[in-house]
Amino acid sequence: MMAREIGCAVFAGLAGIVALLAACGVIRSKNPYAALHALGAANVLFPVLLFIAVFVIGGLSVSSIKAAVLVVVMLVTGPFTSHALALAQKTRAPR
Amino acid sequence: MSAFDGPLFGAELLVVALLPALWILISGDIIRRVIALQLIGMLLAAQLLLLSVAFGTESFADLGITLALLSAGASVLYARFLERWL
Repeated sequence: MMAREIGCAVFAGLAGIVALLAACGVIRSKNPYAALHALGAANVLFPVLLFIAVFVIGGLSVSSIKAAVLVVVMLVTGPFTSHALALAQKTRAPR
Repeated sequence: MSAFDGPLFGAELLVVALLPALWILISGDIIRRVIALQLIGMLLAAQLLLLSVAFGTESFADLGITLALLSAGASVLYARFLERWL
């Protein structure tokens, strides 16, 4: 059981590191398009790592099913939001 | 009950990633602020999910799913508003 706890913490920590790196990428990026690019990686990796963390601790349970639903929501809505923001930036500051 | 609670510790670790996102909210330009808003929504939804596992309360996970949906919708709405009216 302790191994499961540690495994969950490790994968949740990895998800946190991915989000931290994405935030740092957004801070350091030269333009908003590069910032969206940094966020895009987190939009995919973060939910997957989160699901693995919940699956490790709970196995196949209601929690992991809800985690799967959350992962699907994040994976589907991420590209829509990135596209909308890129379009907004293009309209506001065309090259 | 073990002394080390993995999901609770994981939720605490996610708070660390909130700090640079909050910095972007304070100091970034308008598009980066909406990007940070999306990132914060993702992080909070994940924390709610981990807390639901840690405390055994299923309704926290439902809150996380709701927050993820509303946060994404809000980000898209902000982006459309910025595109058309600001």
